Amino acid sequence: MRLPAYRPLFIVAGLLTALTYLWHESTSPDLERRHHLQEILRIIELHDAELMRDILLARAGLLPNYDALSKTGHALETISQDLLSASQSSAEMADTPLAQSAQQLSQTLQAKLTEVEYFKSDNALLRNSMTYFTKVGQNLDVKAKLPAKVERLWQLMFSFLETPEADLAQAIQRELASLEQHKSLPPEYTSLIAHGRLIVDLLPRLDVSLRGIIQIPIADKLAALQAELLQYSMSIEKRAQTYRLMLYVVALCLVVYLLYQFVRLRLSNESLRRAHEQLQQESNERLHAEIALRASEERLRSMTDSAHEAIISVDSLAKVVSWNRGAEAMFGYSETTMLGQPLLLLIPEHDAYIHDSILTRKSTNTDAGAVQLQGQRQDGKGFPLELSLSSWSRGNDFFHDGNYSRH
Amino acid sequence: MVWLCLAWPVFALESLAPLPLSTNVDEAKRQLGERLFHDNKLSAQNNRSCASCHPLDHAAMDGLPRAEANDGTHSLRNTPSLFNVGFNFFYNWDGVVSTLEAHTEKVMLNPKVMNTSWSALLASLQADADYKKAFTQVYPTGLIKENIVDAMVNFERSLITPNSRFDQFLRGNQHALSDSEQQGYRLFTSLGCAACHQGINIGGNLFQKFGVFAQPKSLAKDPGRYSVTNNERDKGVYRVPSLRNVAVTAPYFHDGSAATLAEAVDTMAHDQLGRTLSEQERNLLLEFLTTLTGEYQGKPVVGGVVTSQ
Repeated sequence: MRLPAYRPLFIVAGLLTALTYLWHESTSPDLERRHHLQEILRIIELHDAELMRDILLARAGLLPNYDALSKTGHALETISQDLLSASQSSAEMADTPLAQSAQQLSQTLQAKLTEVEYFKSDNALLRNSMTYFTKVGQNLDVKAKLPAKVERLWQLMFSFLETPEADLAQAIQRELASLEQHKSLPPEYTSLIAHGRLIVDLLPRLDVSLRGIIQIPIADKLAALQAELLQYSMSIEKRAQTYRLMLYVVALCLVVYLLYQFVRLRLSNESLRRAHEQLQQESNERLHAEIALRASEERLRSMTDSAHEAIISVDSLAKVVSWNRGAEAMFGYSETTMLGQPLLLLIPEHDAYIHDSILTRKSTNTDAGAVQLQGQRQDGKGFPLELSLSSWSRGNDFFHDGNYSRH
Repeated sequence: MVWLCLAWPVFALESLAPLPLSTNVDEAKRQLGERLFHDNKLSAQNNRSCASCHPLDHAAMDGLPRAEANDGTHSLRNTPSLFNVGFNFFYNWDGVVSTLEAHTEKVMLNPKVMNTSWSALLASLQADADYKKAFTQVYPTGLIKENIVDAMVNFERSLITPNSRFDQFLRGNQHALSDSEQQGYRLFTSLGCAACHQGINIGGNLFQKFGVFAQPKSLAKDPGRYSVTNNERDKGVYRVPSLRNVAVTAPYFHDGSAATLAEAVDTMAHDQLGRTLSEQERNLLLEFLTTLTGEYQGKPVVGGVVTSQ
């Protein structure tokens, strides 16, 4: 009985819960983190370009010092750590192709920075040796007795600095070796030979290392990560979109259900109002009838009370239901004593008569006429009485009226 | 007819730069860091603070060839001066870390140096109501690991020694250096010292093999940067140290093998540059190097061996 009454409440509560859940799921997840990642990628791109610019400047000998390059390297290292933590900070992102891509980019960056560090060291040595070599060349000590072909060393070296080819390197090595053979070599030539060998050894390696750095596929890794980020964004946006659609459907269901409940309420309200009107009408009628009945009963009562004859009503079981003053005077019993008492008390010797005329003559409403009987008073004295009997029914109840007069 | 020849100085790329005159570190954090810096609570045995090996009145280094380990049984590498540490890009002789934060934490947890642990240090600082109060005032998150490191790093970044005579010269005061000192400076760049000792800290931003043209005399069993990278080419490679305050931070090199600056200059010229310096060249270089001594809190930096407590 109770459950159906609360059912709409449960349904509405259920729909509201579903709405809340769907609303939560339909918000674009990770939006801030995705923007953060996007920002990190942009910064990496900028710093990487800066790093490449400074490396090329350094190779060309146009970088005043390595502070800027170190600073950029440092910034890239920090941002690469940020990238790692940003790509793995959420449970949804961890172990996705996105996180793997981020890890690859971070590793590639680390590898590049390591290479750049070696490049810096080698470049510093090379530039120093090149400067020294050039300087000695500018102040060639003509007085020193050197091999006539010593100018050739510089020619070869300038060509080598332009295009570091293997045969040039070999030629320089030969020149340096023959210079080393020279007796009473001035000390700066000893240094020159050492620096020359360093250049020949280091320059090709430095260029290989530089080409290696340029070929480190930072741009590719960035693009891959960018693509993964887009893919990831699209997939989670799609999911959120689905939830948004479901949210709309559930909201629609809720509205429809509420409308249905509203209409039902209106309808039942209408029928209730009608029933209420009917009831009111009925109760008015009943009230009128009651009032009329009361009035007639009142009238009857005043009539019976004023009569000197005993007027007694009994029900179908011959129990007294009304007792007037005449009866009180005739039998000696008071009204309160007699109400509900059997009629047999008054006429004990005529039990058969009572049975016949009262308990079995149910539908009789005709006047049976007066009957002579022997009555009994409260004090036990008998006396003859004349009984006239009438009966009526109200609904299912039968009533018999007895009109008693003493002889 | 008069030919007027103007010899414009060719503006060489200036590879050295002056230190800023001030830092913009947070004063409250700096003060907190300063207190921690001088507090023995930072070591496990409560027997040394950062200032034990980096006394600020002794050029922020201990003056010993090699630092003594906490247990007294090991000798570490030479203690570098902490002055201008904020302008380095790599820390320790082998560049094992590249942020001051990581370096600070590493030194504190190193069993041979401060030998503390975060749990022990936090417990000991928590027990001090003054620290608790000070941290809560300065940091919203209060007394936690990150904030301890941050306060110390703020202090370390404030340890600058600006206004050396050389910096004054770089800022345009031609009279800040004498003629011979200026000659020394020109020699410093032309000899190739400035190939590695460059930038704002005159070093500290590069790694280089110790012994390019010849093997330095003492190469104690120290793998150098190889211990960080495991790359063969990093054997005997160290961070190029800053030359700021170099005249007052003897002894020199990662193993303290050069007792005097003259000795260090000779080793560098011979082993790193493949050169042998004349007496005059060396003296000019030494004269120049003394102009790199700056001022800490307005007073010239002085060095010397710290007498043990």
